[in-house]
Amino acid sequence: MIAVPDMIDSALMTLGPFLFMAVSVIGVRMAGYWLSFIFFSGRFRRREAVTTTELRGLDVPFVKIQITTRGSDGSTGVILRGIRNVVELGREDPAFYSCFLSVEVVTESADQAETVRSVFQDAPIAVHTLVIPVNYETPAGTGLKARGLHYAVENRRGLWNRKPGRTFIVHYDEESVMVPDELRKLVKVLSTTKKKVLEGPIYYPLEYLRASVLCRSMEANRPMGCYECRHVMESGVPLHLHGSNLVVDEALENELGWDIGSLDGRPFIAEDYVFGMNAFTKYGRGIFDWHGCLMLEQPPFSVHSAFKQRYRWIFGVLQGITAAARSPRFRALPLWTRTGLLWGTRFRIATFALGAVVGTLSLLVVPIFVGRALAALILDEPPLIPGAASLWLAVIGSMWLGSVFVGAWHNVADAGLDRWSRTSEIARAVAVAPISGICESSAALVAVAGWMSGKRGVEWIPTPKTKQADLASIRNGD
Amino acid sequence: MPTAGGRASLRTRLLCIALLFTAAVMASVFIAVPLAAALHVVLYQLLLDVIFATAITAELALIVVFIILKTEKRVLGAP
Repeated sequence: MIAVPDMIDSALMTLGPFLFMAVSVIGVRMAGYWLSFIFFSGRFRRREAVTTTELRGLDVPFVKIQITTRGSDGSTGVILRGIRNVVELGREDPAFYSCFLSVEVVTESADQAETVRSVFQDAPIAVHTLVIPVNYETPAGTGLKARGLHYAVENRRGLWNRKPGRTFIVHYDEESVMVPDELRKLVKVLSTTKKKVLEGPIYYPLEYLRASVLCRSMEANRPMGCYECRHVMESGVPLHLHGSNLVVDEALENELGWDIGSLDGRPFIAEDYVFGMNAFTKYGRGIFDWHGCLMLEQPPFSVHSAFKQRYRWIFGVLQGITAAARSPRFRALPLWTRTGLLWGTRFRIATFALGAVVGTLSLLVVPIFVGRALAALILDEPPLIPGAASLWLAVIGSMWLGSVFVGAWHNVADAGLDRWSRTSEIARAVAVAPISGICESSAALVAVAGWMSGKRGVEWIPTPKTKQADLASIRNGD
Repeated sequence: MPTAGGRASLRTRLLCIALLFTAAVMASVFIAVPLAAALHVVLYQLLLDVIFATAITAELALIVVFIILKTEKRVLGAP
């Protein structure tokens, strides 16, 4: 008969080395955004305020804020919220801002377009709407969100809302908000930049307390990931491109378009990644940059929605790299660049999915490891693992919990909470991080497993934007 | 939640302290214990291990807070 301590030792001997290696791989990945956080945090956000008076002295480009939506339940309210913040900026000086700033809502819902038009008919800046016809098809048969994005491009090519000069499209998600202070900074950046594709950071403070505790903790990982987005955009290698807080020169967008087609007859779900890759292979790395102006968004309300959202990201990127690898323009890139892009993306996906395995095994191994380590310390016994390995685990633990800490701090800063509640929320995000981490990375693991088993199709069901819509989505099994 | 006077209620404060304690336990499990085990190879004394591990963890947290404060600028204003 095998004694329990022997079984534990046997389990540790079997799982321990695997877990150590897997955690180390994830640690290398985390080191990437920590380097960006520690050494280049000054370039992450633009802190200096910009006034309307200052902008008046600049050669400002035309700026179109584009919100592309399916028009699903609950989306109208959050779209109106985003536009109201733009309109608020317009009210500061209607004559000035109306000359170059406008909003375009591209929606599949005629009712939603009508609501937006009626709410903002007297707004100091123009708010245009474009309804995507039900039977609209792009030349390459593009589906999902890219279909709507390309419909807007085709209309612009046909001189819809045409502006006589350099124009930038600022892409919003349904729930995106940029407050006037940040919009002014963005206009200043766009007045001087020569780059054509820019991104900025996104935090998730909106409707913060309506989201479940696990979702709040999951969302705490994202701002830290954005520190790496800065590096990605400044280096010009689009291993990642998010579809909101994405600013694109209109001439480039009109030329490139969003008609990204499909992969083996299945539409792309991560149109942003595919667009970034197409832009990179056609124009090179010199067109990308980081604008550093903050966008605010909201976390998914339930673990169900968060899981689906993460699943779509990973599935979409898997579609994207497969399509890229087949593209003649991609194959014409230098071997080193191709390898870096493909394996860089695969490494990111692998570490995301590996988190589920590591997290689950850790729930079993960590209590034993900690118990043994404490016993060894107290009883002055030989350590369980070498000192250097322990130190490395401490470094990885610091990077992991530290990134949750940093992200939660950024997210709650604008969540409308008092100091005690903010502190509680940061502590709560850290406290549930082991569980939320498993929830989040298991979506990646399921996506990778689905992809490897031959699954290629995925639906575009935007993350519900109200608690009611979220509950309905869970009930309907969406 | 804040009281009518704008101050956090006793319940909010107690909850905050309880959550801070839980977060500190997490930090101990994943940072301080492995760090103390690593330091034990050099220091050989439990108390010194614990003190140094706690101090290093706290200093790391302070450095991170310092960097955040350099980056952070609230955009929606105070509640």
